Amino acid sequence: MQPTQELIDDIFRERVQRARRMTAEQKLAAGPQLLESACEIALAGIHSQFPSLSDADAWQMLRKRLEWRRRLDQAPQSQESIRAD
Amino acid sequence: MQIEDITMIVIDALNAAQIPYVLVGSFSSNYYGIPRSTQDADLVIELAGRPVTDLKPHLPDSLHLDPQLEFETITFTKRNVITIDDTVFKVELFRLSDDAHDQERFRRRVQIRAFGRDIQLPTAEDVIVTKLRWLRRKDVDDLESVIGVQGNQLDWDYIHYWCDQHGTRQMLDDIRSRIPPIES
Repeated sequence: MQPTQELIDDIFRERVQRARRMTAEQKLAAGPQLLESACEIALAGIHSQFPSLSDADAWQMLRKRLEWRRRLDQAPQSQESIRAD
Repeated sequence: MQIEDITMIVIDALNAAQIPYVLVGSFSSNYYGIPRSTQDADLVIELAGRPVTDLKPHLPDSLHLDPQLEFETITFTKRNVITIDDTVFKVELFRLSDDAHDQERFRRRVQIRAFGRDIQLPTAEDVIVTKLRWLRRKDVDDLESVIGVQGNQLDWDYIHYWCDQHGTRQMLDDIRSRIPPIES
């Protein structure tokens, strides 16, 4: 079942109002803190999927995944795909 | 050292070395919009002929400045990268270019106060103009969030001027049309 446009808009409005209530410190710290949390979850997932992997190898796998993510984020988005969203 | 302290340590080092800077990229869109996870801090620096290694004495030993210049293929700008022990987080120092909007964004930068120090940021309008220009996958979400959070406070004449210069006005209008009305 697809979410309705009304629901999508309501969620966006709620996120906007929450961001408006944040302090400068909270906003500037959020990016790295969210990265750290995401890395912890990703590392737990890697260890679960590959139990024999050492911590160092798990970190190496995480770095590769993040580099892949970085390249995806850097990819240009065409005007057509924006309008089709 | 906490991961959120790294950018502030680099800003303190730039101030100590008297290198003018502006904190751009996801930190600026997080400040003006809805914060999201980020793998790096991007700063534009004005070296005015000085070597970037002038920064090195002001950095702690756990931060490693690569003096080798890299070329960024999306924005066609040059950068030096600072890597940090025990984290995937990076700091990228972009050189201020001769591009007209790059210069204007740097000239119009604003000072905010956070974490007990002054921090130089671009204006919200310049964040929008820049993200529309490069329009990578992540930029579309950032544009919606900055426009949504800033609401009626934006100087649309200024944004339209640069979008017309860059040929991005239609993209701006498309993105704005998808943002629902939000109470101020």
